[in-house]
Order: sequence, then structure tokens, then C-alpha cells
Amino acid sequence: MRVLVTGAAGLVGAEVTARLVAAGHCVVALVHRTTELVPTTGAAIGTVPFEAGTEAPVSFVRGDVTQPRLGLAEGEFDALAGTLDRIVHSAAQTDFGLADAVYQASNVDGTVHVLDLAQRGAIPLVHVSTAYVCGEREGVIAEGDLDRGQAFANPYEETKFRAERLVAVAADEGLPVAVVRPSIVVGAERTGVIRDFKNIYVMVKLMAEGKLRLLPGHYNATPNLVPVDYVADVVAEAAGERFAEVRGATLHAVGPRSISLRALSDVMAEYPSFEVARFVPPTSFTTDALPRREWVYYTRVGALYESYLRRRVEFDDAATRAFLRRRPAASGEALLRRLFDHCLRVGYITAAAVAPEPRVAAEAR
Amino acid sequence: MTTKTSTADPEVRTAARELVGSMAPNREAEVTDASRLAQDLGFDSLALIELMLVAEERFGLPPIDEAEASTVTTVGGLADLVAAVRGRAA
Repeated sequence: MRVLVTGAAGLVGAEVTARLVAAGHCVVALVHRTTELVPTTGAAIGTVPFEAGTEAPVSFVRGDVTQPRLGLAEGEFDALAGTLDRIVHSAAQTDFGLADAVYQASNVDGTVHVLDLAQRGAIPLVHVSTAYVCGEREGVIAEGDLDRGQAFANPYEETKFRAERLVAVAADEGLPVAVVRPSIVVGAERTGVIRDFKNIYVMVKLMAEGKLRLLPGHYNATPNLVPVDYVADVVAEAAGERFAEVRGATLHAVGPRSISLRALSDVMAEYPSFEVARFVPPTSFTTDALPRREWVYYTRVGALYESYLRRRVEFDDAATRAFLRRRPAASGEALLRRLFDHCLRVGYITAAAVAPEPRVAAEAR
Repeated sequence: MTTKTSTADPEVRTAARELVGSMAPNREAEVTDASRLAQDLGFDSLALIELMLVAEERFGLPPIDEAEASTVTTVGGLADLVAAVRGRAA
């Protein structure tokens, strides 16, 4: 089959591309700038420019999901629609702290334009969403839940929610779709390896390096982490020969159990070079008492992730388990150790924040 | 794309190059006044925040606000910011 992957250079997109190619499919990678795709696990994937009828395992089309027709000429767009058997829509803006318009353009308008392509050719679509379309709801979230009148913690969640609603409308109109909702995507399940350190990694780094020492949060809050290769397995399997099994379904690609901040703190305390942040109830947290540096780290970075330190949420993944017939190889504390070990191995987390011991005496001897 | 260098004193420019060089994620990249912090030297958003914090301390500046800090995209731009903040403080 010929599968278009949007966001093919991204963390999930590159990993999905590698799996689709390994399963014998041809991937057309919609890329914005980068034409070499670098999966977290395995070697870089070379690409050639897309041409009609190409048999290359991975060809690329330069485009831009924020633009009508994905930024392609009318003829190119139609030709693409006529050649595809599947679309995996994994392009999204996942960085935090950007202007609202950026999320609207990438996550909502981007989905509108991908749906245009899918509907033009009646092409089955696997839409990559996020488990956090649940917003600020707490408790157990079912895979079928979407609009429950929830509030959202940030424009990322809100725009991903709106995108998913657009996908649901297209499904009602007859487009074959499946939705995959990853939680917080982290390193590979067996090795902890990750290509980009974003979001939760930045928080862990700042805590481990003692740059964020006091945070508003509940020790029983439960951010959910899922290894990138497990997410890619779910997406690639859904987009392949078994699509019919998941048509109309929503799959929670999540860790089998969420990790409490208590467990996170305990695992961080196992690492001699890590500092361990203290969480205080959000109602009694104030930025007023923070030292200048910590104030900057908190207001510029920590505050973006504050809601994930507060929410007590579990994601039901019954449909996903039934479909993939497995769960991530590591979860809970064991997964955290793999992730932290990798951060240390590649030097992402350092002890640089702690002033080095004076060496003068030793050198003088 | 702007490649403007700096109008700050040579001493400030040298200090800015040294500071950026000591913190640049891309260790091998050459650091000139025209070097772009993100594209050439590998500064991500967190590294940029840390660069500003260290610059405040190294140059003895009052806190630089986020909007002003975000205008700095090159090494020369950092030197200019330091000179501007010092000028206001004087």
C-alpha cells in the first residue's frame, strides 16, 4: 500500500514510517523542511522526491499542513489523492508555550487540510491525537470519550480536541477513520532512547539539576508516559492491513499505569547526582518566594506543565490492548529508570547546576 | 535574514562571544558576532533562557524581561542587548 505520513520527520512520524516500510508499504512523507527522517530506534531513512508511480520505499513531498491543499499545487494535490491507500496524520505542534495562532494553524487548520485530501480520494485516515484531549477531566477516561464539556489546560490540548471533533464529523460523513491517542511520548520501551528531549524531559532536567526545587502539584497526580516505539506500533498496525478492525475506533496508546509524582520523586532520589523537587499543594504555592533564577525557570518553563503535576487521571486502553495484543515492555518506575539512564548516558541531564568543588587544593598538591 | 553584527564595544562583544561559546550546545561551531544562536549554535528555548540568566549575572545586569530577551537571535545581538541595558542603567 501507499501511505502518506504527515509530520514524517517528527518523533512519532519517523518511527511510524520505519515500521510501514518494514511491513512492505511505500511511504510518501509529507515534510516541511527536513527530508532525512531520523527514527528514535534505527538508522536514518533516506528519501527521494515523490513522483507518480514511484516504487521507492520512502519518497518525500515538501508541503505545509497549515496551508490549503497542504501547500501543494492543485494538480499535485489531486495526483496525490489519486495514488494513496492510507493517510497517517501525525503532523502537529507539540511544543508548549507558543502563541495560540500557532496551534490553531498546525493542529486545527492542518487537520482540515488533511481531511480535504482524505475526502477527495475517500482515503482511510489514521489520525494521531493525544490522550489529553480529555483536558482537565479527572478519573478514568474511556477511549470513546471526547466532548464531555471539559476545560483545557493549554491551547495544545484544546486545538487537538477541536481537530479530533473535525475528524469525527468526517467519519460521520462516511470517511473511514481511526484515531490513536498517545499520552506523553517518551523514549523507547527497552532502551529509553529518544531523539528529541522536549516537554517532560525539560521538566525532569530542571528538577534533577536543582533548577526547579519547589513546584505546585499533588504527589498522587498521575501523568501518563508512553514509549515512542509502542505508540508507533499502534499507529503503524492501525494504518496497515488491519485498518478495518479499528475503523471508527479510538485507541489510547498509553502506559499501562500512570506514574504518580510520589513514584517519580522516589526514582529521582535513587540517582545520586539528581536533586529532588518538592511538591506543595497548588493552593499554597506562590512564585513570590522563588529566587530570581528559579522564578525564571518556573514562569518560563515550569508553569507550562503545571496542570500535569496536578491532574489525577487514568486512561482506559481496552480496545488498544485487544488490537495490539501487548502493552509497553516497561512501565512505572522501571520505565523512568530507563529514561533517566538514557538522559545521563547522552549528557542531557548534568550536574552542572551544582557548583563544582573547589579544585585548588588538590591541584596544588 | 539578518546577519548584522554588533555596534557594542569590542570588549562587550568579546565577552559575549566567550559567554555564548562556553554555553553553545554545538561545541564545534565557530562563534562570531553574526552566529545565530538557534540555527548555528544549537540553542533551544531552555538553553536561551539559561544564556540570558548567565548573561545577567556575568554582566551585572538588572533582570532582562522576556520580551526584550526574545529579540536576541545572534551573538552580536546579545552584545547589543548588554550594551543597551547597561546604557539604561547608567
